[in-house]
Amino acid sequence: MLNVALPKGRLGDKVYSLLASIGYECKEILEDTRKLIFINEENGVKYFLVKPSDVAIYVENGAADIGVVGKDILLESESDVYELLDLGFGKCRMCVAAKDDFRDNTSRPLRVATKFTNIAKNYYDSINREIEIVKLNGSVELAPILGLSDVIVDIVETGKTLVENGLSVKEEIVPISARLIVNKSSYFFKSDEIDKIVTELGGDKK
Amino acid sequence: MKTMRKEDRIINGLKELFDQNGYRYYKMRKFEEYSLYMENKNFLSSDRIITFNHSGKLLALKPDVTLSIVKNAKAYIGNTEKLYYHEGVYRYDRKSHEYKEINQIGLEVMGKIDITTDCEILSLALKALNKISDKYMLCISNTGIISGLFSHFEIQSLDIKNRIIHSIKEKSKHTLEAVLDEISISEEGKKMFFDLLIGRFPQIEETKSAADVLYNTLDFMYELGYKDKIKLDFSIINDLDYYNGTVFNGFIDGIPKVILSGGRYDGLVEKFGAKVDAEGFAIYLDDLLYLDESSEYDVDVLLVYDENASPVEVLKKAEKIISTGESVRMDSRVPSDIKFKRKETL
Repeated sequence: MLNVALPKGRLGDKVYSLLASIGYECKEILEDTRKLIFINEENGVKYFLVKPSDVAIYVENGAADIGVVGKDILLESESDVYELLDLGFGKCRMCVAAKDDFRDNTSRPLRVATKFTNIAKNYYDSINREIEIVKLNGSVELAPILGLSDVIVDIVETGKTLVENGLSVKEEIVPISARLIVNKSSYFFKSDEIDKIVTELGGDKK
Repeated sequence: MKTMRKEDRIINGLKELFDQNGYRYYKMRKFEEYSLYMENKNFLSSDRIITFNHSGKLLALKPDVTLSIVKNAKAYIGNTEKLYYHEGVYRYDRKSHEYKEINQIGLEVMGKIDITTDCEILSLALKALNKISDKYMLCISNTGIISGLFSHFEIQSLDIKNRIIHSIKEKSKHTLEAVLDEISISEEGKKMFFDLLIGRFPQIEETKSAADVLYNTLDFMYELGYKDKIKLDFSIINDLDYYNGTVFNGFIDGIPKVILSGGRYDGLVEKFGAKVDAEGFAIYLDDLLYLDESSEYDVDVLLVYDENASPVEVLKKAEKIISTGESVRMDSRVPSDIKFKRKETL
């Protein structure tokens, strides 16, 4: 029985159809239901619908053998899992953004507003810039506009939200995309099955 | 119902295994001087340690056992010391943001380590895993493989090395390729790194001696009958400053984390100014909780006695029940929160 942590939302829908196409179909998941666990004994698969930012936790703690999660969440949670595939979709970038006329005053710590405190800390550590973190949970673009921070560290897709709020990308930290992650112990006890999934899904990538 | 908790049975089984193989029980002090850990930060998984002031000295609640044993390494020259321990160490858990006591049982060998000792330690690791469950796996590697590759390609940058190590540890071929492309490694060279991810040896001079050690060890372990319980896994990479040789991780089906971890660490001993060989492993007992052993009953027999019963009679009856192998709970009332198999009255 393969246990799969599926992120709720668009990403999860896409992942389900990929897995269904290689033999892990579970039609019940497509029905309108409030259930969170879906089992298909015949295909040997159990799906859990999980908050996207929790997928890595389920996989790390063995509640799921495999999961799909964005690299942003993976980097932020610093989960101890195997990252076997870059699935190539859900592409975006983790960037530093600020007001168009922003200039860094290096005589004092940089105030960084972000949801991704670990990513921000690690990035500024690597360039030796001292910072003060303002942890926010959403609408991070507001922070530099209201003077709550100098810059933000956030995901950028099209960049439209930034532009519409008078902000622009100053640095790109790392490219983001959906990754297939595997529990370290499950990997050894279900290696044949997992290797097969990696091969079949890896071929789909452009 | 078995009358000892599974975890206690496992711990006793492990201690018996180590006793039978001639290991001495080593009891640690509760506290060490903080300087011991401060000077060896990279050996520890975290530098957050619980410290307190005692008569002007800064002491620490021990985050690790190996360092305390190695500290006395100079004393082991001439004789090989084989020790085992069962200790709680105090570490900071980044995920839950709190300090935890981690229950560890492990062994250390210090002195002269030859191929037989190497096989002995691996075989003890396998036997130890078997005491926990028969669905186990031991994954082994040798630090010489990755350091040989670094030498061969003259990779010196610490940042690049760490990123390569990180991607191999994650078994992430795409991330590894990105780093190798950054330093312009040829397609042939890249293939050598990718081969590591599928457990294939690189065929270069710099990794030859590590490969030989690994091959021979594996041959012997297969001969001992462990063929389907032991696997090559080059994603096991421990700090290269301390570990120099065989490194291994143990897994149990049903436990999501590494349950056993060990290796050859002459490098650490050298930092304490001694030149002896050292190898050992530790088992993380707290993860045994993943092996659910919830039983239906809290106790086999509920012995209910009324106020006129003689204490002697009650206690003698309880002893009789216990002598037949069952557990018993004496009570003057029927408790609402205890599940029992059957009831007897007096």
